[in-house]
Amino acid sequence: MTNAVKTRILVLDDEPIVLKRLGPALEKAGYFVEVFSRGAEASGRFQQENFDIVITDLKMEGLDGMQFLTQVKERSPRTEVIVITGFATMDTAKESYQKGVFDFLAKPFKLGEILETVKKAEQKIQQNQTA
Amino acid sequence: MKILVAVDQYDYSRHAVDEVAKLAANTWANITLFGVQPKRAVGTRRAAELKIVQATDGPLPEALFTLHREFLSYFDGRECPYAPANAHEKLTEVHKGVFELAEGSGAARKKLTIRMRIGNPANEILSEAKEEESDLIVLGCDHTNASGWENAASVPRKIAGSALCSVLVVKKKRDVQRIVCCLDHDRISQPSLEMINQMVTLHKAPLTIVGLTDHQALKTEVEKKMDKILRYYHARQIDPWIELVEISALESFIARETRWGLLALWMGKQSILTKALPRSKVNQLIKGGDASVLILR
Repeated sequence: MTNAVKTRILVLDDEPIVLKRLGPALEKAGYFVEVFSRGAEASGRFQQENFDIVITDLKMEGLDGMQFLTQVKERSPRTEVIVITGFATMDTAKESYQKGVFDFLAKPFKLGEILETVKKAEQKIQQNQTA
Repeated sequence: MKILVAVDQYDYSRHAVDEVAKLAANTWANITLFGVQPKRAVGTRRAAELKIVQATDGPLPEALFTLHREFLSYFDGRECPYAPANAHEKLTEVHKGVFELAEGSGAARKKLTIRMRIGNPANEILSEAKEEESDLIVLGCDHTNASGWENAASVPRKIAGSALCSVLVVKKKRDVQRIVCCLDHDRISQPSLEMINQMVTLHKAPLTIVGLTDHQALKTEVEKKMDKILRYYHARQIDPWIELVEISALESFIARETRWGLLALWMGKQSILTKALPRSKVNQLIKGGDASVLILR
């Protein structure tokens, strides 16, 4: 599979250990992946390039993940966003869905769970494209 | 996050479900409410049919239905991530020896599975958690009464001792005033730190992180590592209390600290705690005392 047909995923999490685990797993599953630990860099990159799926943490140093989610949906409503958070609350879950996230995953989670979620998001994107 | 809630028909299971409902309201985790019907001898020609009748009748299936309703009642209907209860409460065999309640109609963002198996409770709970790749097993335990977990009072201890994932043993209903977390600063796993974060968020309780040291010479090194953990939490607007405890004083320290309501122990394969705290002492914590115990892995 070439990069041109691969689903493009941007991952933002300020914990390097999460990126180290998630990035290679998604690449191995056949996706084109870019990982960022700084919100400003992820935000800048998203302004330059289109991504099909964004996976973002919520509570990070420097940038509120909820702001990033808002930016993503404003610039590219078709991009599916998956929120991952280690500090889940009822309010953040509700707010995430109000802002149009595809799914909300509380940490910890197994790789299988997020890969399954990404696959479902990819299917939704494909359905939207053929509709 | 995937949570397996192991329940039976006794009151402590209601407390466990209550705790899970609060956690689920925050995390929108995929939940399995899971019961195990102990095997009974069936010695007739119609054994197979009788087995199904026995499995789907009686106090355990009834308890599963009740706990299911109680779990859902915690949520505001319009904002509930789970499907509503099915009006027709009946378990059907989906695989050999595995029974499930059909989901109610309506859109659901997250899975809430009601499942029952037949067999040895501890073994079936461990198998289910492994197959489902659960991140957390939650189960109740009555510290005042040796009975419960029908015919297998030691179920919580076996689960806590053998599960591959973290295990929360819920005791009586009480507020958690402080979360005391004993960890091995060298090898604490990322999922364990994340589980602690969710507990701190859930209980809005202060956090004490306990580092272990075995003599003065090591103290400075341990302090450095604890400082790293402290910075991790500060970056997330959590201000934990750090305490260093000599390994020789660990047992008495833990006995004192159970008064706060929730004690977390990192018992991963390489944890120093598995050596410092004999299994019998961990069993005692689970069996006795009214503090809930979170075994982190």
